[in-house]
Amino acid sequence: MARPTLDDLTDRLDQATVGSLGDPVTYQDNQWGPSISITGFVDAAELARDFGQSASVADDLSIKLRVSDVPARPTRDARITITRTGLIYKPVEVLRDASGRWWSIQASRVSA
Amino acid sequence: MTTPAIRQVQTAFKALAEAALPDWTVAIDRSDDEPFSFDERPALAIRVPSVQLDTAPELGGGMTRCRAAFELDFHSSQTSGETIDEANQRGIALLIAAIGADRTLGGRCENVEEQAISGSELDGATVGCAILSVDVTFYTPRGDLFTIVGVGGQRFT
Repeated sequence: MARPTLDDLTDRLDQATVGSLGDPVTYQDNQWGPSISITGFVDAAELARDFGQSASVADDLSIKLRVSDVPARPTRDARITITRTGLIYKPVEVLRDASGRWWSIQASRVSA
Repeated sequence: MTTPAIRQVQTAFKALAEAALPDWTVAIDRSDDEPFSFDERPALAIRVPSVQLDTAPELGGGMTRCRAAFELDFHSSQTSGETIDEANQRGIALLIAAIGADRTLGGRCENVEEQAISGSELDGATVGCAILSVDVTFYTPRGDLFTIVGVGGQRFT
């Protein structure tokens, strides 16, 4: 049996960590495609965007998903549903993190 | 309690906007301390940052001409970065069409004229803002900013 590499162990650690501490989400490649239930790290903050004399609440949501769960880079057509809130988001900015094992996604809310 | 003339014009403008933009939240006196929520957008904030007053000598000195600078903040939930997104473009176009259909706001004003449109200078990842500037001209009796002297001398209080 091949000995596990550090990469194998790190990926298993990621899987165990996000499985225990992450937020359940539903992911679709596009709004008509099949959905998969996975977990990710969700920071669902909002902020008040001030345009000078009036303001609007804007999402400041970021999600980290494992590349092994979502192999293809998420596009703007993808839909991510936060199970806890039922709110649906689309990726606006998608970057791979330094380890290469996570997608760091900035997302904006879409109507249901 | 009597209503100031400027407020009367704002209220009439709000009614015009609500009819032209039935899916929008239209607000007066909505400061940046009370941001529009996601569910409230698309939204329009009507502001009057300044009113120029001058006597109208051609009317015998008994009238004040009021030129109100209306600033209309259109808020949409589309991505915007120093541009005017399509949702706001559509809202602005619909409101300008409504203004064009009644430039007296029900007989209250001499003229309502759109001046300029500008996109927000701030980036908004999930919200866009565009500002429509509109000049509104109406008359009041000199020294009385509670009464509007409208088209044909009709008085509004």
